[in-house]
Amino acid sequence: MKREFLFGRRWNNSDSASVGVSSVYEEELLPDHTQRLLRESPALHRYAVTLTCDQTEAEDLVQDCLERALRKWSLRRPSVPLRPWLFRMMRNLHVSRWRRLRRHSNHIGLDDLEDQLQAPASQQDSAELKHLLIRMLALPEDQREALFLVGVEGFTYAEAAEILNVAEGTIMSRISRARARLREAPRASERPHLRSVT
Amino acid sequence: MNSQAVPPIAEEDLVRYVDNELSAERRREVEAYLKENPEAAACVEADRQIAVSLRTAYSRVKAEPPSLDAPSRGRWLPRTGIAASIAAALLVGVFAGWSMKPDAGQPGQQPFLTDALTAHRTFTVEVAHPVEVAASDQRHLATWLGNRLNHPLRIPDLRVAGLTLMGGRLLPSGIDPAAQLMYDDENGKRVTVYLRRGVDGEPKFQFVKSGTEQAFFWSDTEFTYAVTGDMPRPELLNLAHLIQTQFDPLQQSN
Repeated sequence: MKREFLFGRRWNNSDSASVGVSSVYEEELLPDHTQRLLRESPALHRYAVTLTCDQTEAEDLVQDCLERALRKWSLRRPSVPLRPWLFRMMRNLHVSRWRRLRRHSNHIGLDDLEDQLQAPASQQDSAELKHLLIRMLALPEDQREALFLVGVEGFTYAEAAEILNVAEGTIMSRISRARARLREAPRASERPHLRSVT
Repeated sequence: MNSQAVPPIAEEDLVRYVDNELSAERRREVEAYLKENPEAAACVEADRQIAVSLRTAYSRVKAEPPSLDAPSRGRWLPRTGIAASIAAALLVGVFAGWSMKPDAGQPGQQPFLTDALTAHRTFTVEVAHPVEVAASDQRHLATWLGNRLNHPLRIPDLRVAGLTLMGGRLLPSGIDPAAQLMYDDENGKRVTVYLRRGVDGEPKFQFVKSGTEQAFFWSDTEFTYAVTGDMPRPELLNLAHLIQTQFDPLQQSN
């Protein structure tokens, strides 16, 4: 079932007969499809940030995913929940393409993010949340993803396992490790560091 | 509830407890355990606190309004809260106030950009003949430009961003000709999309500013594009996304 979501398979438009001219807004792109997809974009963006650790790349990834989802909409069975479907798609995109592109982009690394944190933070509370997010993004990817899906997005272990294509027990142990790491560092630290602080 | 029959509480149970992944019975057993083990209880509490904070932190991550066609969403015009959402979403940092990466590209560095900006300046002020082929003849425009550029092209529909196609023209540009498409909004403000064959740029958007005009430019496998206008950068980037989506080679017929 996941096979159909694999990135790289070209979805042929049915209007391939037209010669260079086509209305961009094809009839199959019904507004409600688009609207449903657009409503998912904040969640997709959160996941994209988790995957890429980079704001600009995250935006590109969301865009890419939504466009793909739009093209593949007709392949989606209505019984398949939308968000996990999109998350799987996004993850495939990230795995197959984004990692390669990353090298070429001048993305904001975690170090840069941390540098930006040195700027005066208007609110202590907000600064702490930023630190936490950055520490979250500094976790190993497998732990980060598992904790994100369950802890932030509220997926069950079974759903997260389905999205990541691993066993439920793996989800549990990844979350366990991620939480242990996040617990280690002082949450109210004045001087956040990406290295875990013991 | 016979405590002797209760399997020992393991780390796994505590993790599942936080995530509400336990059966009701096991949950009660864990709760009983936590009452007697303050250290474990503190861990669980810390985990919960972190989960709440993480959700809050993520909720402050700015989401991009993606540039999909969404006619029923209405036009993305300022003053309807849309400006805010676009500005919030595009190019601001993960949190508001975080700055973005520095821009790449400078005017004059690339002949492509010079051509694009020059064409923009030349024709956006043109009153009598802003375009060579008007939008009323859109089908012809697409075919003609596609033929001359030696690759089929779509005329991007930017109505969702409040821009109406005025038309387009063919322009000399190096070896190959280039095409310019012109759009205007309801106030008559003009935006041009300039494209020619070849990959002069990078897939990602690059920004350039020259005078009052700003442009984003990028390449896909067939063309290099520039979208130029005198408008706030986030709005322009939104347009670039919108255009890129519509020029996506995967969507092109082959």
